[in-house]
Amino acid sequence: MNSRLHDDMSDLASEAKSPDLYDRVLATSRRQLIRRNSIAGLAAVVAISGGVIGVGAIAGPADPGPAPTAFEGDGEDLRGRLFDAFVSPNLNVYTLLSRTHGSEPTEVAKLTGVVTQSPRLSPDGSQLSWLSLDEDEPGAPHTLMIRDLASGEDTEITGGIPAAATGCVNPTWTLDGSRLFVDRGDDASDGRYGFIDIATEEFTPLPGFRGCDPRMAMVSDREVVYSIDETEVYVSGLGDDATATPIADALAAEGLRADYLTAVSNDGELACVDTDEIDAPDGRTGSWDCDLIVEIETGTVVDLADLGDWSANETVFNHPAGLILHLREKGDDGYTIDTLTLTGRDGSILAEADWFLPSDEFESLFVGYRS
Amino acid sequence: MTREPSRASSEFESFVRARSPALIRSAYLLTGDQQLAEDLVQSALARTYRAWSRVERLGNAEAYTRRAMYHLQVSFWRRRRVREVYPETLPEARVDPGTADVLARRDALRQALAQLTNRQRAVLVLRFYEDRSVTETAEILGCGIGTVKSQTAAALKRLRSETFDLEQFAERHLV
Repeated sequence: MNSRLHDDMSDLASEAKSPDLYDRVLATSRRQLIRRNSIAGLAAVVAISGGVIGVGAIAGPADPGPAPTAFEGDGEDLRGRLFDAFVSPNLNVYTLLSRTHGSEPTEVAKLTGVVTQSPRLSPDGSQLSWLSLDEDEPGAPHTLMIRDLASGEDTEITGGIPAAATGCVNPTWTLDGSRLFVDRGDDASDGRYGFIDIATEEFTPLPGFRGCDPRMAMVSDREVVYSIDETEVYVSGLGDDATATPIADALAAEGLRADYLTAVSNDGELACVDTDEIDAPDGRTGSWDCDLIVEIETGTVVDLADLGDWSANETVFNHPAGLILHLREKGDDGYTIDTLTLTGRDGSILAEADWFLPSDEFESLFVGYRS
Repeated sequence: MTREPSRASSEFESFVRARSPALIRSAYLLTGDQQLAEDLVQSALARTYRAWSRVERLGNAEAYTRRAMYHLQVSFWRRRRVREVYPETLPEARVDPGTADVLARRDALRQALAQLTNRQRAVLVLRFYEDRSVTETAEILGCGIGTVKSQTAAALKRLRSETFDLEQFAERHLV
């Protein structure tokens, strides 16, 4: 069978075309080098100027108008603390970094990827949770771990997370950072889904939960959990069964289906969903995880026309002025460019940070923002 | 003024031109998409380029590139999913039964691979396409031998249960 599978795979692989990649590889390296130097230059300028002006303020009078600039002011900016993470090749190490505008990135945590899964930053950026695996026993329950990023102290939460339970419901922080929503598997005697208080390890079941991708919100002073089951987006709270939101029906009317719930705003007004129907820019069949911003109450798609043909890798809603999208776009030269864009709720672009990976080795992923 | 290419640059260029086709074939199996395969190989080669003096000195440029490629694809923290678009119906062209068999089997394998996780797919490509040992596969993926074995078993089990029937497919009548 192995020989047959080898032959079949070889046959399928023979479909692949082999363009000359040499110039593209060099251009990618040069682009990344230029972008790294640009960020370093910006950091130097801001430091010399007292840390309050952005590149727009030092531009000459002949420069074109009010185009979005990195870290511009007026409160509608990206001057809080950004968190991003990357994995180094070969070592498979997860590194979490933080940075403020005009400063060098600071490493705040480093986890060994071989035995680590599903790292999640708490909403206030003070704690990191992850699942620790027993490499020798892949089917063994995973251990839920928490690191206090200020002290570096690790805490193990008693009670394992079944290996089979991860992937659909990964441990997810509540908005206040006091609990994690988890799936404890079918065999859990006191409930499969629910919240673990990280201080007391008390478990509060949420029996009405259904689906995957839990996202927390506070609606009318009540904590609720949004989730997605197939294409239906649900909301559930303590004591309630999950209730379908209008999102699936509204998207269906547009010929769209959501299949991943990427993020929900803290007030439960907006969600970002991924769809099969929308591809990444340039008609690529691969897609990032956030294709549409929708109003949860109505399912109406928010018009983000200012962004053009966009698809985001990650979304954070907790900026006071709107939402932050980690966009990956095709540049004029055909190569991809990562940008953080702060978008107002009217769809206007308030600020952009042409941020760059601090590593020569791997692209980093935007994972959080704190004002 | 034109700068003369350095020896290192010209050796890297030779490496890229010589090994890209094989790398893209593996990447195509990993991603199921030509454009994504090119992007994946391009990203891996860009990393190799930056580390060229070191990897060339150690004589492991291809191993380094492949390792970077597989890690990029299966990075555990990145929920990057690859989707493929399949036509609703197969074209109704008249084809030779032998050719149809090959094409149908290829399409079935493509769809079956799409059902696997990135890690399962990587393990299968390394083990059965590149004919790597369990130990080599574990080394490239940066995981334990036990993980490779369990992922291989899970992938093969899933492959059998999906549209791609390893043993019986050839017996089916396709036209």
